Amino acid sequence: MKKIIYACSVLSLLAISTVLPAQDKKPVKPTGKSFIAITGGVSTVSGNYSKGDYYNSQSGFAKDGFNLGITGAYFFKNSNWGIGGHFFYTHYGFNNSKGMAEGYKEDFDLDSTTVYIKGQNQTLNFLVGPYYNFSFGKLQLDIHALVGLTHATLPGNEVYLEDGIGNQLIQRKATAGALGLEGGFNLRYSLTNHFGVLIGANYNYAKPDFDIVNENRKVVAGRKVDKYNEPIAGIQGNIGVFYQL
Amino acid sequence: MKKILTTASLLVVLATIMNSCKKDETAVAPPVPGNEFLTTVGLKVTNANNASDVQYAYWTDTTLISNPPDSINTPVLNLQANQKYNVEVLFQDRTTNPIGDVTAEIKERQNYHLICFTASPSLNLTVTRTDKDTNVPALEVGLTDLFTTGAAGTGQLNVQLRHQPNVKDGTCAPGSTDADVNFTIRIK
Repeated sequence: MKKIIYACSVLSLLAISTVLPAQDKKPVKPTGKSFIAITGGVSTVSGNYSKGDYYNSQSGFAKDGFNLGITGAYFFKNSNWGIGGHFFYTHYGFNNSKGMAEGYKEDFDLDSTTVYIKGQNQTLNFLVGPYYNFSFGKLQLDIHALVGLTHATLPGNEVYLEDGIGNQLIQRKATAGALGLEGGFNLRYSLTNHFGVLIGANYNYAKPDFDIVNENRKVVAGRKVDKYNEPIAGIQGNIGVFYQL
Repeated sequence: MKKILTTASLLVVLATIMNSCKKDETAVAPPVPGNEFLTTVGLKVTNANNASDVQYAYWTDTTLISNPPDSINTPVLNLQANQKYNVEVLFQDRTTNPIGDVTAEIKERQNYHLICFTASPSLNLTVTRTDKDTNVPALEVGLTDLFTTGAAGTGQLNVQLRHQPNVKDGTCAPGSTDADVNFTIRIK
């Protein structure tokens, strides 16, 4: 009996001795993996910028488009925090050029008008800011809030009035810079140690102040916009591929 | 670093290609059939020294009106010599019942309309437009006028409604003609 108790004691001590070192080990905290990605997707617009109402001077005549960009972040050592950026180009379509032509036709009491849109509704954005990472093995979620520069372009137009030859109304293309803001997330899935795919969504906002040059406006009639200062805001939905360290 | 540069270059190339492929958008607002008519041009003439001395004269394009009565085409005015008359030019659409008033529409679009008067050499009549539009600087319109008669005589007064979208400059030459009619004026 004494031998059995002794043997059990030795086994217990052995078992405890093998377990104790494991309890001393701290669990490894998952941290963000720095990455760079190419992204692209749809860009929506909202507010006055998306309106195509000829009689509303705040109408921006923009419609949903697409964006292409590079995004990436450097995560600090043993941290979920990082710093990164999103550099992207957004192209929006033109909303209701037909309505614009009809408006000029009505305002100048003509039989017909032709409107040529010159240029695109577009922005070029350079945004930087903090990233925070949640890691779930191969799946990582990054959220970010960015600030930077947005360079926007408002297209011009030429309106040909049916009655006159060579007396077209001209609104020149305008550009303006503004503070750009972005908040959003990327969900990244690693396919290999270094490469993977992502999906993401962002909300973007900028409010450029355009000064618009109009030419050959001989009479006070028809839509004429000299300044445009409305928010360019909307949601991006993106997919992309990334490389991570 | 090399990967970043490669990625950036690819992106720029892609954006350039997509941008260069995009053509400028074009939209045409075509004519709408069955638009409004302008059948009649009228002159309401009031003696500046006698408010009860009022005359109306109408020139009507009867080809646009089914079964037109003779009474609707009376383009004759009898004025006194050496007098001043306040004149209103009236535009109507007599294809509708009640008669359509086109004058208000011309007034609304005065910034690119001008009424031009041309008296025949035998007519001792001076016409001065008394109203102006809201262009900068303001230009004459001609919906209200002052007729100043001279010695007795008879002749024709040509009245034209000129449509001058984005070309109005105070002269009659630019634009097109919406109406071109003649009144017989007898100064006694």
